[in-house]
Amino acid sequence: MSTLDPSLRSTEPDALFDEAFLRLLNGLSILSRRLARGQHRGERKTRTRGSGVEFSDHRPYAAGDDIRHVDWNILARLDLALVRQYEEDEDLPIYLITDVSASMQTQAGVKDRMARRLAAALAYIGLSKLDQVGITLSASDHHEVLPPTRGEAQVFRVLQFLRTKTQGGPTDLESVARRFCAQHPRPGLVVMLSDMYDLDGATRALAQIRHQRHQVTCIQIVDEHEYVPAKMSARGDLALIDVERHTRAELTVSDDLLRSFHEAHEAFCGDIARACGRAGSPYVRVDARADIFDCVMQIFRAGGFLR
Amino acid sequence: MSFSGLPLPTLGVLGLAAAAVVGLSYLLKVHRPELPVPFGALWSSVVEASEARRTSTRLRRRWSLLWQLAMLLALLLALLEPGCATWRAAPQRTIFVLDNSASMSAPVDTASAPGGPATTLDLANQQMLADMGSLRGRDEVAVVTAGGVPEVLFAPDAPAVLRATFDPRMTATGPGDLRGAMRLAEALLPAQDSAATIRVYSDAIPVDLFDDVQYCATGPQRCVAVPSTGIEGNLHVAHFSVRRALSDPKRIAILLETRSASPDETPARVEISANGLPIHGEDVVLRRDAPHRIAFEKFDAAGETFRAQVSLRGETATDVGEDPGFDNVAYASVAPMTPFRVRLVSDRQNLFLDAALLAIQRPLIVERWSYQDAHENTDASPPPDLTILDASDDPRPLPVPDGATIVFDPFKNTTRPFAIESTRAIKRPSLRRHPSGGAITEGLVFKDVNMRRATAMKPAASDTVLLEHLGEAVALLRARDAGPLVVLGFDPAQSDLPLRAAFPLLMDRVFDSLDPPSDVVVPALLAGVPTVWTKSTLSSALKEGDVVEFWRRPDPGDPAPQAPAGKTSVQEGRVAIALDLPGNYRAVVDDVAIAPFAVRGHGDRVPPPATLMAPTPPQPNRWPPPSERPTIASLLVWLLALSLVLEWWTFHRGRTV
Repeated sequence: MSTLDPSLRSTEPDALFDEAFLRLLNGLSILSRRLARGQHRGERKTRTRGSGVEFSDHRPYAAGDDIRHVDWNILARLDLALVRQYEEDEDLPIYLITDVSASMQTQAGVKDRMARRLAAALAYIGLSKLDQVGITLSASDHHEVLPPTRGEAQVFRVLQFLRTKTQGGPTDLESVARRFCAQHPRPGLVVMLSDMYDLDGATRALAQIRHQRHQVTCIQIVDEHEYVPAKMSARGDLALIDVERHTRAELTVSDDLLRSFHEAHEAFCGDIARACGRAGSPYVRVDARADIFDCVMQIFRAGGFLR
Repeated sequence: MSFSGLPLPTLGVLGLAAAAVVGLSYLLKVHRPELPVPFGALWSSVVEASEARRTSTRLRRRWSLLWQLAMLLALLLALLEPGCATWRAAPQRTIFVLDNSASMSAPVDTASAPGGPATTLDLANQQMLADMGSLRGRDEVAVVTAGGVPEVLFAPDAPAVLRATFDPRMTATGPGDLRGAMRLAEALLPAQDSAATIRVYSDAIPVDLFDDVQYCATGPQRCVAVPSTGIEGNLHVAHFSVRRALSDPKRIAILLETRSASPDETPARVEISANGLPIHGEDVVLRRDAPHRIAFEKFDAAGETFRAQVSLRGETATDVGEDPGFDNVAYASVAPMTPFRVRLVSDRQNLFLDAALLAIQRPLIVERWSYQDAHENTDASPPPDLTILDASDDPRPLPVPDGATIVFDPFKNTTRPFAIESTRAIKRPSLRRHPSGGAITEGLVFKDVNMRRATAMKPAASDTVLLEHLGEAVALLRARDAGPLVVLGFDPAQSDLPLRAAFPLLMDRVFDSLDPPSDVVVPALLAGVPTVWTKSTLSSALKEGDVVEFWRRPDPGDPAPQAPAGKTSVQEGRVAIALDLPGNYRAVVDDVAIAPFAVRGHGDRVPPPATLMAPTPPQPNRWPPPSERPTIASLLVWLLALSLVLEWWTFHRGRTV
């Protein structure tokens, strides 16, 4: 937890997932099912054939095959020894990586709050579809992991995990990706919820996760009060305190400087979006002060989360 | 350089308090507000590419503190209101009173400065414009002309406006009315609590106006008579009178008073001439409050017309011209000295009589006759004013002549009949008295007169006894139709010394009784002022209806006048005179001069003729005082205060500093 400013502290847990938010989650679950029926087959299937209940194909019998899979009807009629093959049902785990670094705690922690609420919403949707959902609260100094779990009944466990006060430390997305990949070798759908304020490591972290055959969805949570000049009140002689590195820089903030920073910020976000586009990873930029429902719909429209 | 603002102790306390506020607020502002930013790396990259951390930008805060303190110091200095007195003084109204009377058209000496002002008015205009130019822009000026009809030429306005519109090509005509102009100027004065100045440009500041100036000088208004340097007319003859010396009519008593209206010492030359010939001249230094007087009790000058002139030293005297207000020159006349003709009939042995006549203080023409001449009496000349008959030694009877006559010892020759009967010869000295001598013997003491050879007379009832001895008249005065007759019953040559000392006085008294001395003060009048005299002022011989002409005696160098300056007639015993030109005049009736008199230039010392006087201007409410315009000092104070507040506010609002 940062000791610099009270505003850096996270909001109270009870205020994080209030009753209105829980009603929103229920609505999102219904909405996600409707979207799945219309566009997808239902539960997620693996590409491998296995011991499922649905017939998939025949193949010639080979030594070592389980004789229980031999199609005796064809053997009797055609004197061919064929083995019946079935499609195997497989759960695709959903990994939610939530950035809890110090940069997420500024402006009274609106970004952290938005990230945790989005993580709760996506986890609820995943659990309601019988997916496994794992959550990682990570920064360079902290790394809390909720192992993948299944079932709607686990939603309260997820919410309780997201209330963890783990927060602070510098943003080091590369180390976060490295630790995540080491702990989750099974490919899955990785949703990165972060402000991505890692000037050099953001794109490399995404590439590293993709390299582990994860499907990555990047959700960048930003606060306009931190980069839009019109919404920034900082003017004049100030001491800029980097909340992550605790460095101090005395300078005179002018409108020109704010405009320059805004342009640099847009360029940085553009680089991340282009990197995601090149890799085929969905990229969504979410305002931390926007409505949570609109943000979820924005994620749905971007694709990649619902199948 | 002086300071007229807040006192130093007050200003010190104020400055310390303000400096404390500025310094304390700066110290509180030294700690920069901290702004936590989530993306410090991006901020660093942006800041490195900008000038936000430039050294000058970082020092801006310290410069601001120094700037505030500097402006505070400048503000305190401005509150001290430094500057010279004229710069700080409140706006003042100056009223220029410009005399544009005819006397101002007198030419000035242009030899030293060719192309300069040609007349006194030009000189006054030049100096007035120069004085106007020396005023400050926030002052107000007004111009009042003091011509025949005083008027406000320019109402109070800014000096620059008047300088731009004033036409110096003004003509000087007519008599001046400086009093009327002063009244107009006073009407333009602001309220009592405002400073104002009346500057008078005139060739002659009336003496009595000095009192007004003095009166103004004691009040809030400051009236300054400004005789321009070099304006000759600032000198004037305040008083000039000439008369015959009382104790010696052959000599002249002169009293001359000259003044200068200039506040500075003015070197001048005073000259007096009689009948055109200079009789006195001296260089003097005139001061405004110190008239210069020249008094001669017995000046030996032969002349009847006198002229006094005061002029700037080294300058040529100016001509009086046709200006009745010209008062650098004054004129005076004395009565003509008519000699008293005395015929002395004696045996020419009585030197005592000659000595007595020499002691007479009046011009005498003594005609000495012998007895033979008296008997023959072939002279056709007019009869003498007085005949002194000492015929006691004439063996032949000599008749008493007509006219005023003094007879000595007529009873010496007892064979000769005389109009007054003798009683007896006094043989021995005894007491005497002179009970009813009147003016003739009043104060005379015939002490110890040797009366042994005196003869007592029998006076008539109408005779006036001049001297008695033992109750008998030894000297008497008889009034005759042919003339008064004084008879002395004794021979003064035979008298003792006291009688000899009293005898000349007795003779003088007799002369005065026979020919009373005329008024030694010749009448004078002011130029341009109608005056009415009784006819006796000029001559008792004037008759009703006589036409009296007034001829001006020309000044030296002037041609003789071809026509009388004025003409009037005697009506109801009065003579009305109105002459415009100063000078010495003579009244002439039928080509015979009957009386001299002088006409003096009135200048501005007396009111001009009633017909030329301007109506008294109403005394309205005083002209509003000049408005207070913002001064540079006050503007500076406000500017500095505003700058200080702006800088302070900018510093503490935390935006640009």
